[in-house]
Amino acid sequence: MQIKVYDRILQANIRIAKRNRERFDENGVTVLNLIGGPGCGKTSLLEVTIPKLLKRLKVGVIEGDIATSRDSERILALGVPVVQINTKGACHLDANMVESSLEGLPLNELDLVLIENVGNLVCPAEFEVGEDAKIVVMSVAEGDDKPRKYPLIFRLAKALVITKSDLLLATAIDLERFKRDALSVNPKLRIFLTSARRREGIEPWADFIASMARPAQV
Amino acid sequence: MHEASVAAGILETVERVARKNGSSQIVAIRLQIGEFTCIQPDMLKFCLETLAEDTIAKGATVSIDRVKTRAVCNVCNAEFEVCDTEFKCPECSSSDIVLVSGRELLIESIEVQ
Repeated sequence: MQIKVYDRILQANIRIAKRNRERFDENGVTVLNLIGGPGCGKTSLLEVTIPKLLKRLKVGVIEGDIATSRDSERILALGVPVVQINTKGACHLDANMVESSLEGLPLNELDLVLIENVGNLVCPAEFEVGEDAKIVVMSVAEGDDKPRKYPLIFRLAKALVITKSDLLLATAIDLERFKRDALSVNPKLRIFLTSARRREGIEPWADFIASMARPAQV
Repeated sequence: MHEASVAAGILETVERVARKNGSSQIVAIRLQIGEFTCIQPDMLKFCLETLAEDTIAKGATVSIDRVKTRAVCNVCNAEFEVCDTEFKCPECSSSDIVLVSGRELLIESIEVQ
């Protein structure tokens, strides 16, 4: 006997992501999911971006890593609430992990939660966690061919933050080709060129985040 | 590598559906996996077959339909397959397109005894 099922394979994750979404909405919190390969500079980007945001928004951070709490310690030094998720080998954060971590954040006091996903350009794209938008982070050292090699994350993301612009001269990257390819996969993608080390290009990116976040409750 | 946990989720669902239909043996599982997803079909199939060993789906045939990435152009209404990550209309070159397939991750049906 054949039985039609037509169930979504990731239904369990989608259900929990929806629950997270409702919780974020209830608390008036905007959530950005930062996705990029290992070493692309996600934590460094947060370190220079968060101080720019603090004048305007109350910010919390969820740090996803396979192991260690090194990244969350760096964020903690900025004086913002941070919760660390160790996936113990898993290649991405899923909605369930994020839901469990929310106990560690004072959501009702926050305007914005920045999620730093596990360093990986592939899997995190497929697993919704209840975010408002995905942001793809990639350094100039990773080559200009990535939008076509990893099209899903570029297609799903709202913005691309190109990091380590201070290394531009040391790499053979064709920045114009990189941007063109990224836009051919996703014409609506907002692109920011940044250097955390030189603190360059951070302002427009921080303004973009502030424009996405809901106005603070008075 | 997340195919194992995805496979475990699929097995949970198909076991539940089979039991609800009064069956205790699943002989086939049919899935739809879009080409524009992060699920690798061969790996998923392997994980399913391995994890099924301890379930009522032991020995079940796993078949996976690959769904092509297709889009419709908002400007000229052409429908086309998105090839080589070329996300624009082959007719009018517009990039104002909407994906209509390729993101499927579905358990289509099961065959029970």
